[in-house]
Amino acid sequence: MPPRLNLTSAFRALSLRASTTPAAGTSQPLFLQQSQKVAAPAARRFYSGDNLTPDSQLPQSEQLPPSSSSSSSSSLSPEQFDNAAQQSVRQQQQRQDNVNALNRLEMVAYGLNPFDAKEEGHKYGLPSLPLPSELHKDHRYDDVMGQITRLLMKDGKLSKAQRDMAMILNYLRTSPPPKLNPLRPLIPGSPAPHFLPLDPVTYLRVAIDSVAPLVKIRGFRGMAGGGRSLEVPAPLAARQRRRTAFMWILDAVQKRKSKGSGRKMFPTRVAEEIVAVVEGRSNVWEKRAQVHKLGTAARANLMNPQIKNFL
Amino acid sequence: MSATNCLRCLGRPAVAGASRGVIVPVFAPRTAPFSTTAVQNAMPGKPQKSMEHQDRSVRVYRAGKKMKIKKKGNLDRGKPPAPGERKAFRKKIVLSNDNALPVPWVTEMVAGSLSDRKQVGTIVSLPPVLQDQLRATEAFQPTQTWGLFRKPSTLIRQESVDLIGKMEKAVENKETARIVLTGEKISGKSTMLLQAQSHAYLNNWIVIHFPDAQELINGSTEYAPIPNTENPTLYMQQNYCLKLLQSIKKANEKIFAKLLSVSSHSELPQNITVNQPLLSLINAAKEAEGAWPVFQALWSELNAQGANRPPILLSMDNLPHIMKISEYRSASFDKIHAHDLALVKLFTDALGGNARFPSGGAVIAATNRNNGPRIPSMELALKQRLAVQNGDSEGMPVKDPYFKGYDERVEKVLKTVEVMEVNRIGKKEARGLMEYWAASGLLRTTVDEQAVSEKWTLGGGGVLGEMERAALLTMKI
Amino acid sequence: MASAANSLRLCLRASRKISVRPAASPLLRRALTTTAAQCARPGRKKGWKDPSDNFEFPEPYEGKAFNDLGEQLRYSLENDELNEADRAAVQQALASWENKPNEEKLEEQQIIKEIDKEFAPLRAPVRARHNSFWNAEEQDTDLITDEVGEDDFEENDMMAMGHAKLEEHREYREYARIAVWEMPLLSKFTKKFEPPKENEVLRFRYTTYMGEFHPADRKVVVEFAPRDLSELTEVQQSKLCKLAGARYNPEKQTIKMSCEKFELPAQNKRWLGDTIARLITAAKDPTDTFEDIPLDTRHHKFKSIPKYPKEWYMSEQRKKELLAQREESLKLDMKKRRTRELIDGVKLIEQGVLSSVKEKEPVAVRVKAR
Repeated sequence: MPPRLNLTSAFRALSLRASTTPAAGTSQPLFLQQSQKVAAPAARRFYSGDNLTPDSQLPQSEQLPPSSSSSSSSSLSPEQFDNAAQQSVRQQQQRQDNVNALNRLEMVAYGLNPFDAKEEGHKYGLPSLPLPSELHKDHRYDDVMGQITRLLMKDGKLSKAQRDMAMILNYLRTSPPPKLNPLRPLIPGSPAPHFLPLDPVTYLRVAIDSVAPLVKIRGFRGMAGGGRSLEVPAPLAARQRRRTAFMWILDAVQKRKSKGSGRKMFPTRVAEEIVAVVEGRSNVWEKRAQVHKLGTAARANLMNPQIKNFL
Repeated sequence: MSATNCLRCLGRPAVAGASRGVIVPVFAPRTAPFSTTAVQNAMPGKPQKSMEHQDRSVRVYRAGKKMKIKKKGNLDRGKPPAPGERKAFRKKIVLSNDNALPVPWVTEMVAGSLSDRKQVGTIVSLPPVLQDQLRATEAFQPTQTWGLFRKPSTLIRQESVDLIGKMEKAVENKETARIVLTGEKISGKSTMLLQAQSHAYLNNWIVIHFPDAQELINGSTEYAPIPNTENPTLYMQQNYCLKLLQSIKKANEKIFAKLLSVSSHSELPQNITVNQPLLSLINAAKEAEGAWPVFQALWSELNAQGANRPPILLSMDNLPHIMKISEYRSASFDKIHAHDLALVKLFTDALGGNARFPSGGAVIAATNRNNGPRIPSMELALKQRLAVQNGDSEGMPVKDPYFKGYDERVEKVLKTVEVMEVNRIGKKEARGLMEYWAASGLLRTTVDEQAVSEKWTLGGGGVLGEMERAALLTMKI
Repeated sequence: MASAANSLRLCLRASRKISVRPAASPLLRRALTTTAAQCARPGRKKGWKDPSDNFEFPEPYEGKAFNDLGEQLRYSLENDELNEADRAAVQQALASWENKPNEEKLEEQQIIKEIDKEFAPLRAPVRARHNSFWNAEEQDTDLITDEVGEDDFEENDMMAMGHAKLEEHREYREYARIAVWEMPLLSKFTKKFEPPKENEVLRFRYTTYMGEFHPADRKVVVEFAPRDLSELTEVQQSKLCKLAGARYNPEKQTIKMSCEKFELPAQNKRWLGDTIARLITAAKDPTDTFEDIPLDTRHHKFKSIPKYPKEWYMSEQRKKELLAQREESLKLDMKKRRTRELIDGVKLIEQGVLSSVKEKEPVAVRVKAR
């Protein structure tokens, strides 16, 4: 597992400056360097602070970037003295920062978390992870709901589709518990029927997953000989299965007769169809059986040598 | 020389076939002269069924070659919905949901519940008798969410207690409280009216409720000028009147059975003498023709001074509709002002303070923001009244002197009414409401302060309808 | 057979007016001229001019054809109109011609012939073609340039685009020089801002287009606030606003008017001043104070810019209030949790469903619609 610690912020805390002494990489750990700073005067890393080296005792001019050091090294005017004093204060500060940053880096190297929340400075504290789904815009709704709402949508009016979906759910909530048909069993693991009305999302999910077909029939044109297409079953992914099932349900809704008017009519028809699916009255079940039968009959076509290149 | 192909179509002319040795009957006398249409041959050898087609050659040749556009399987199944059935579906009101869980702490509304200040923030359910009465006066609306819960229940709000308090105070002083309810969209104005009616029914008032003012003015009911009214001519709406009488009778049957008439009404289709129950007076209106006189008689009986009459609640929803020119036309095809319709005039007179109920009562009207027309003079008058009530004489809005859309009659009606704003609910009330929702099994969350304040904020800071939308009408349940 | 259309076409062609100049014979022209020959047609009077010609060269050798230069010179000597100097020059030329040997004469004649031959196409008269479209092939004599080899690159210069880039840089530098050397000099002209005094009520705006002519440069705009006119009473001020009509801005409470009637800004300004003076006298007129007429603001659209409400600003006190509220609500939650009064929707649903199963199935009591 990769470490969750972020090195970039530790690096950002370092104040980078070009140093006069050439950078020399060491293989020694930093904390050793710090302890041995008198013993190993030449040891110095590129990003290391001044306090690690005996050079820090030298006059400021040597610590400055080359461009400024040339002017200040020969003779110091009073102004330059002031500048130098300010710079020394600033550098003191930077040195302190560097020490902190380096300490953190060491902790990172030892696999510790160098940042506690207080030090990070979060104004409102960190959220507890993983985020609950309602806080993420893409996962606000159940995955089936998200997919189906978009299938309900017409002309890109998602908001209307969502309102329709809410009405469908409310219809399911208020309709009596479905009476199951033993010939048309629901998907295994579905809750008992009297649990369904108070959990309309599951109700809808069960209905769709129960009638979702497992395969679709692909036709390969002209391969069966005599210009006929060769029908070959192909498995469907979960989303595809749900889509097929809901499109069948929508087709059945289209054929249903509208008994009333108003904005509740369409959602009511969809919800009635869903209840019919769960109760085993819907024609969608027959469609599913037909596809499965055809898929079973055509499974021998999978061995067709022409097909093998396509699969 | 003739071309090998027909000029207008790609078919070969019949003569070309002769060269191939096929014997072709001579068509020359049968084709229409100067026609550029290709000759279509009927199947040779097919016996002609009737000889009378012989001369009408074109028809015979074209037989069986009509273009048919096959309609997609939109076959008519069964009979179409009966008239009014579709509207009935739209207006269907369901008051209970058997799947919803019963909430143990919800009590039934009693006569004093709505005026009890301690009960603010609690939910009370409507007793079955009251439900029938409210149903009779169409106080429930299909857009409200009655159908989601086990029993129709309502939240007692601060505003409802205030409103009921005003009604009670008016009755104590034998006065008439004249109140207009205003507020944002779906903030609960119609529900406040329903609560006022509930209080009235439970306290044995007489309730006359106009469920939708729009029905009075949009030209959907029959109307006729009332004889002997001049300047302005008044109009009666007999069908609406009959409907109204029936709903009044259904809702107030018990009280009317006890009340006796104080004067005789010989002009009615059924002669009513003194000391007959008012119920029989209402029953006199069997058909739309006699409805208006019966209503007038009833109104005069209810307002009879000296007789011991109960308080009266006169209420109307969607007030702005009656504050404009109606869709009706006079005999000279001028548009009729809504206040010239007799029923509207009755209500506006009462709202304007011209009618006095013998033992007090209330006239309450609710504005609507969603489907209502903008009436500038009404809006201004209400704002002015509100400023007066708040004692804010400096911030009093004034008329725009150069705007022509003001209506003096409207201003006159609203000059002295009391304006009550139906505001947003507080968090305490919101918590009570959400606990009720959760206990009914409709809200899958733990109702703590965080959840309450989330829904409260999503609902525009406590707009009740918006909170419902955010919590009950979502895809996330 | 000729059709009717064809005959019509022929008629039209015959009636078409084309000025055609016949090609003159080469010897009728002066030698070494590149001008197209113009000559009177034989059989016409001498004074006749072709009206289409703009001007004509004098034609001293009309109708003559010369065999050589000597003959031509002799002919010109016979002309009486020749002045003395010319005559002498011609005689000298004739003498030198006659002194030449014969071969040279022939050679010279040959050269002249060759040159004539070379220039013949140039001299050819321009004829309008019968079937041209609006004489499209006619040359535009104004734009004749030697276009041969104009775009050839001879590798001794930059390309045109390079020149353009260079020009651009020159322009940059010119403005940079101005910015560095000349702009600082403008500071000499700075003036300290003096707020207008009590009696300086009018504010004028003029427009200049930096010396260029523009129809709007004469326009003068004046703006003033009626409140600043301290000599007017409040009633008179409001009357002034009403008189100003649509020129009154009720939001800023100023009157703004402009004038571009006259040719000069000064005239326009004068007119504005006069108008304001008249307005003020009218406002002072006590016969009608207009007090009964409300101010008309229909011309102005009031903009309402929503501002962040003051109550919403976070103050220390507000923070404390909010904290207290939160604390209280948390306490309430804790208390409810302890007494098990906190309502958990999910749990309630599970319990409710289970209990309803234990009971008998509820009977549907849905009330029918009206």
